[in-house]
Amino acid sequence: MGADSDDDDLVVYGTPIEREEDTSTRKRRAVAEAGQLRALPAWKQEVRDEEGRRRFHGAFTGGFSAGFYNTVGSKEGWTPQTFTSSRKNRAELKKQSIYSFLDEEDIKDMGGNALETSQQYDTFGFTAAEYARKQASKEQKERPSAIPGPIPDELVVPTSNSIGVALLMKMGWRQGRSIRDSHADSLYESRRNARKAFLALSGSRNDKDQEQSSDKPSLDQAVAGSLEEMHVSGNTPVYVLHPKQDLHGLGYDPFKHAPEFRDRKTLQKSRDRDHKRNDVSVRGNLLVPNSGNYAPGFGIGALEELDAEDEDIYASGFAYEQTEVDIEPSKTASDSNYKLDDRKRGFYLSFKIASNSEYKLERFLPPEIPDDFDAQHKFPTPVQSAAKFSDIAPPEALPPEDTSLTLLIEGCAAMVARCGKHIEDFYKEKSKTNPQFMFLSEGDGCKYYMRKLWEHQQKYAGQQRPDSPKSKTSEKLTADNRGRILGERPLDRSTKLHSPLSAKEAVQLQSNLVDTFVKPISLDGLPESEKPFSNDPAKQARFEQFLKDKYKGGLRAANAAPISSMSEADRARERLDFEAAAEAIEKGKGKKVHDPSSVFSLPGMNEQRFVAATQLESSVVPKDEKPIYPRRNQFEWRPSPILCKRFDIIDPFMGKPMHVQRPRSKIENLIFMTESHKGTKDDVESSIRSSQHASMERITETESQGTVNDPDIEPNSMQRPVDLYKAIFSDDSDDDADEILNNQPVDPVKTSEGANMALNRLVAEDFLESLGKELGLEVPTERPNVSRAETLSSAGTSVSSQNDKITPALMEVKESRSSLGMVQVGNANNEASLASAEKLDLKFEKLVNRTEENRSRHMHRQSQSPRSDSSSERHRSRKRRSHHHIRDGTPESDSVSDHHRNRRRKSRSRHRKGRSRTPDTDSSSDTKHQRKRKEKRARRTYTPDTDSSDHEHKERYKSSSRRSSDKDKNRNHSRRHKHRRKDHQDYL
Amino acid sequence: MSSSGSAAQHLPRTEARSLSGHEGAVLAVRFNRDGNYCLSCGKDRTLRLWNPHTGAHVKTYKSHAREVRDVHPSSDNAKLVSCGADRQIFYWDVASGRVIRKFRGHNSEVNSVKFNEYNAVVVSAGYDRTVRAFDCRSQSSDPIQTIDTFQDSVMSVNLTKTEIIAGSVDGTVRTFDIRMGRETVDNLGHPVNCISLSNDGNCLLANCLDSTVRLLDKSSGELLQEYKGHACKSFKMDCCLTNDDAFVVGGSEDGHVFFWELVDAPVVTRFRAHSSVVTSISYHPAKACMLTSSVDGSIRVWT
Repeated sequence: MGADSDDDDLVVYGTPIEREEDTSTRKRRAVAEAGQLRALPAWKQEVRDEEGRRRFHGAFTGGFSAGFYNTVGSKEGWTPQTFTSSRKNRAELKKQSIYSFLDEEDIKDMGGNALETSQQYDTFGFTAAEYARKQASKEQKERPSAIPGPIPDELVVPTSNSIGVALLMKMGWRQGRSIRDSHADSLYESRRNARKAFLALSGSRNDKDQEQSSDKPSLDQAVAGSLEEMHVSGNTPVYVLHPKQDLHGLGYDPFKHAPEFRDRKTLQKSRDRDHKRNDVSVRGNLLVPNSGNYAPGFGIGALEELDAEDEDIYASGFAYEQTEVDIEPSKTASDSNYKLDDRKRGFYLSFKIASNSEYKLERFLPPEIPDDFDAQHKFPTPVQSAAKFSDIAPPEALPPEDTSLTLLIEGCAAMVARCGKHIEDFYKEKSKTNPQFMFLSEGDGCKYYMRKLWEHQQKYAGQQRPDSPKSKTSEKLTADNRGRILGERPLDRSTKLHSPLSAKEAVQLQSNLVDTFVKPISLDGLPESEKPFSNDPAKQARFEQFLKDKYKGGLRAANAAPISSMSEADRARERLDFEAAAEAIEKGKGKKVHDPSSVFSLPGMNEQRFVAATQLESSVVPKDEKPIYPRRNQFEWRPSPILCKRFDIIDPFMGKPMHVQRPRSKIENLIFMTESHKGTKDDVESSIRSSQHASMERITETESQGTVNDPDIEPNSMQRPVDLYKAIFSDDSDDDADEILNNQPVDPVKTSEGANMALNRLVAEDFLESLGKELGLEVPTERPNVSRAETLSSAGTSVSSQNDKITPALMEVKESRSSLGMVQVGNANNEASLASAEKLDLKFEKLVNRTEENRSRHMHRQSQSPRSDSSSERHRSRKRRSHHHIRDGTPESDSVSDHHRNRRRKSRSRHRKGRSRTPDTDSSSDTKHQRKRKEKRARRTYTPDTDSSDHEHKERYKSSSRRSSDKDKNRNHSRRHKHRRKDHQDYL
Repeated sequence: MSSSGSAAQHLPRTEARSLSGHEGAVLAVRFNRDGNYCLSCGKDRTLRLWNPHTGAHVKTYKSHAREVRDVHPSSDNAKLVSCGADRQIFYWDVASGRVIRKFRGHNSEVNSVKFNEYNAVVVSAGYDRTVRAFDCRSQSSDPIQTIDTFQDSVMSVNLTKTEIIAGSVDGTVRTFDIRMGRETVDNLGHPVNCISLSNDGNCLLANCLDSTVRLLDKSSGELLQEYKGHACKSFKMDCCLTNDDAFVVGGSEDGHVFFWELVDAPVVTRFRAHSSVVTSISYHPAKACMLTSSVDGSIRVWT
């Protein structure tokens, strides 16, 4: 309050000391900025102290700033110590500490007054020991050294009790006792009560003692060695430290293989302890190995003398003796016995036969075999049935007359012999439905079969035996299980029972099939009959590869490395052949193997591992020829992101674009996209826009499509580099390109243009190459090392070579034009009003324009063909056009009309490029265009002839523009075809 | 069986009233989401809003240039969407009767149209073999998605929360799962006229042009049951499940309405509802009430 009133009167001088809030806000800001700063690049970061002040500056803004504005002073400046007279007031010796020279930060760095955990309270940590060591070193001087000799005594410290232990100790707890309230000790209480009762009964003779014990239970407790005490102490386990006192490596057990010596060791230890307790002088004896603390981990040679340095400086510093408790009193007893023995017999003679060996080998009795155990495993359909047969040979029998039946019997017998009886059973079952297998039970061939079977069994007996034990142990797999594991495809059910393949082959196939199933062998051993392409070994090899792939199962290799020499179609055809052949072979099997299930039973032939699948017949559903409905297929589908958003669903593809097959290279794509393609796209677009004039449009469209489908597309694509060039550079080059296409060898101008074209092409190629390099793509180099002259000539030929292909296209154009004429007439008749007539005119012009575009394109391609019909064509077309273009008063020369067309073309192509210009800017662009042309003229070698024609052009354009200014509508239409077309769209 | 038998007793088979007003064939009739009103559309190029429980004709919506083939109300009953032979989809305001927006994009007649759950998207199926989705929230009238995997005219489209299900004359029912980005094609082998979902959303009912209604398991594509007996060979006719999913309801070209038991597929009941082809059937979402419409121009309410 008083301060308040003081404040009012106070006159403030100088800058006030910064308020706490200010600094704190600055700090806060600094902290906030620190995060941002870290994100900045290193050179943009600023060093600020914790209060947000900038301490380092650039060279021009102050450089390194330390202290108070680069001084060692302070804001107040350097103030000398106030002078005090030493006469009266003797300057007392000022005790300077380091802290008087340090500022806040430094002190903090020093950790001087910082809050720390006290070592004292580090209950179990290492600091306690550390602290104890310090304490011990302090006390070292006062007490006599425990270990004599040159040992740095401060290193050997007594154990220090941690604060927790110290507190407990203060509370009366002693080492080894459980921590609990002694009064609450029910056992103790009950005993005391019992004792009281006993004493009461026995008389008051020991009254005094009784009083004492009851009054001071804590004291009573403190007495070590009392019965209760011992009892209670059992509660707390005493951890006995086994100090490492030997010179072995950590974890090394010298008695690992000689446990007898362990006893010796313990004996020695106990003796040493005795020595220590009894005779202090012995402890100092360095020759007693365990008395001192030696560095255990560091190698001291056996013959090296122990030096002072070798004393254990790594010892933990705990005095083991204090906590060491004998846990095995019995052992110590025996130790003492040995000790006695030692005394008698000497040092190392105390070998003693162990009364009970610790190393008793545990032996287990073999498992009891039940009486009824049969060591021989019996299969449900025993293979060993062969043995039964082998005893008595059936009588020799004549083969039946039917040779195919004979072969079938032979094959069957072989199989049964190899696979066992179950095959026979299976066939027997089959025979119920199929008369072919009648020989299994009765009928002719039965005896022959028996005989054959016996023979085969004899043959296979030898090779079967060694296998059988193995097969016994291995688990059984059904054929279809195995097939499933391997991913085998069930063979198609063959419907044809009889095929031209003989039964012999069928048998062979069967065995081959077995091999295919058991192990994927190469089909090199395919019999000749199964080599349908034996005349072509390469093809046969491929066929075998195909078969192998087919029967390998599992995932088929995506495509075996395609043979480069074969075309895609050839490969497809061959694959079809192979499939047909494979099917034929399979069908051949069908003769013998009437059911695919029997095929599946075959894998069991070599080994008895596989049992015939029983449920197979049911699983094989006879498939109808027509597909089963409903049939389900799944495809990937891309919902649009907005749809996902509207459905409140996360876009499953996260806006990733559909995976499209990338074109091999961008350049290629550019180059080989034909012009006609672009044209049609344009047409289609425009047709969509002006759908009301569909009928008329369609004609032109079909027309243009007709050109698309023309065979002259291919040669067109050969000139694509120029196209690309055109696309990249300004539209002015259009003229050149067209003229190039138009080039006529008879005309000297044209030849020069041809040269120009070739040059352009070269430039384009160079450009393409460099572009390709930049894009990292491979540029198709057509003529890598052709000189310019050569290129010129080749360019000429390439143009002329196309002539032939153009004629049919031209014919088509002619036709379409005639149809167009009809449309013209029809339109002219129908439309009556002026405006509509005008519109029609526009429309019609557009159409004409289009047809002419097409035609001119062809004509350009046709180039200089001197055919009369084409020239007349041109003439006619010109005439018609002049008829509609009223303003073109004078008939033009051929070359001029050509130019005109070129201009049209150019404008079209410009339109194609979508470079639309507004009518307002048109005039300026027009002049620009002229200027450009002039420039070009200067650059290029134009003959005066073309020049003049060019001039004429200009004139015409001017006039047309004058005329067009009359009518707003007509303005654009007379200028550029491009704009004409655009206007069309606007009208429509 | 007894329970279903008793349920069959409550099937709507008595005519409560007839809603007349349409001139010419009624092509679709639909309850609104709560079942208090219904919408119909037909060859007279109008949409009509009725109260089927009183028989009152509430409103007529005219704007379509040609026949209206399908109509669907939004779940908040505020908007309508309709489509027809004029290739356009009209997005209506129910109260004012004005067209809010016209969605263009179909190149041919639009057969079916539906709102999605949030009324934000309209999905339509057209004769131009496409299913198109339009955004109601943007001003654009162009589709936001076009699905053109169908081989033939798409007759019917249905939406779930995450799927677009469409049936086509090419014999397929295609399910476009937006969440999975997956198209599931169930080829039924016969042209699919109409598809409808069971109320639990697990089954798909497809009315095929071989006079068979097929019930498919939506998740597995398994054919669960086939319902036969009616005639459906050349008309687009609706089929649906009753609101308790116990019966399948379908119309017939001879004017009959068929009820099949869902599990065992016997014809539980059939009655002559109209004199001519039953084009559309709509079952009340809660009550035992049904609407049928016919080429003869009548809409009948059955209870």
